Amino acid sequence: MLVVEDEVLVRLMICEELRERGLRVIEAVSADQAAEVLQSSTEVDLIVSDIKMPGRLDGLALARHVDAHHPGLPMILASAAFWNRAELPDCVQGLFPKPYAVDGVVNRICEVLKDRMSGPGDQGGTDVSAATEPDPAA
Amino acid sequence: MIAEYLRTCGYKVIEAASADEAILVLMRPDIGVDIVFSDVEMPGSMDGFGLSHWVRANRPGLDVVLAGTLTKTADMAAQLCEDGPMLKKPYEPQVAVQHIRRLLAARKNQPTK
Repeated sequence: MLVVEDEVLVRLMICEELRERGLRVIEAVSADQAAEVLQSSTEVDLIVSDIKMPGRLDGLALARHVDAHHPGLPMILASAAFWNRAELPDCVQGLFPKPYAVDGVVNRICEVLKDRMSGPGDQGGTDVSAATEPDPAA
Repeated sequence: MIAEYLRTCGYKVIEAASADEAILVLMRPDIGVDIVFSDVEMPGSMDGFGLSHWVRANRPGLDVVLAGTLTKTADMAAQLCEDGPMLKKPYEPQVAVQHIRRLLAARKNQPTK
């Protein structure tokens, strides 16, 4: 699991919750750094990323990079701005408005990971869960 | 890598990408931190020494361990961190953990000021 977030306190909050649920989390402070992690031998099964971040790439560009170079790797995005689903790359399987409730995002992460483990033929779909509110359903 | 290693040793680790981020964390009274492990050279408004100064001024009693590549910085770090020794990079993660363990143990044994 790779969490990409430039705000340290937000990153801390979500990473801590994910670790408490037993997930192994790698932290990146920018999409550029995340791309470096993906280029390394580090295993990543899902990316959670903010969209607006400083650096060469933003979260959307990172998602396009994932579509192009890591097909099947799901992403969940968060943004304070409105985004049209049609604008989002295929790998995006969740979009949360910021500020978000951590539980909603983490629940969605767990769902995507569960689907990924149970349904290998259903990866990389375009089923975007664009939550206007955090989805409490586990 | 070091954060991951420390977690496997049982520590709860908060990652900060710069001294500025570390200070944002340290300024939060609801986030408990009992030791700071920092690189000397970092991007942002201050380096590891600047962070050590900040800690001494704002969180007295909190240990700082610095890691850096230059030998001469060891002396500077020693002046800044009374109990926090400098680690020369590249360091073995086990060495960092030993330092941290020792500092935390020493801290526990100190009478509360």
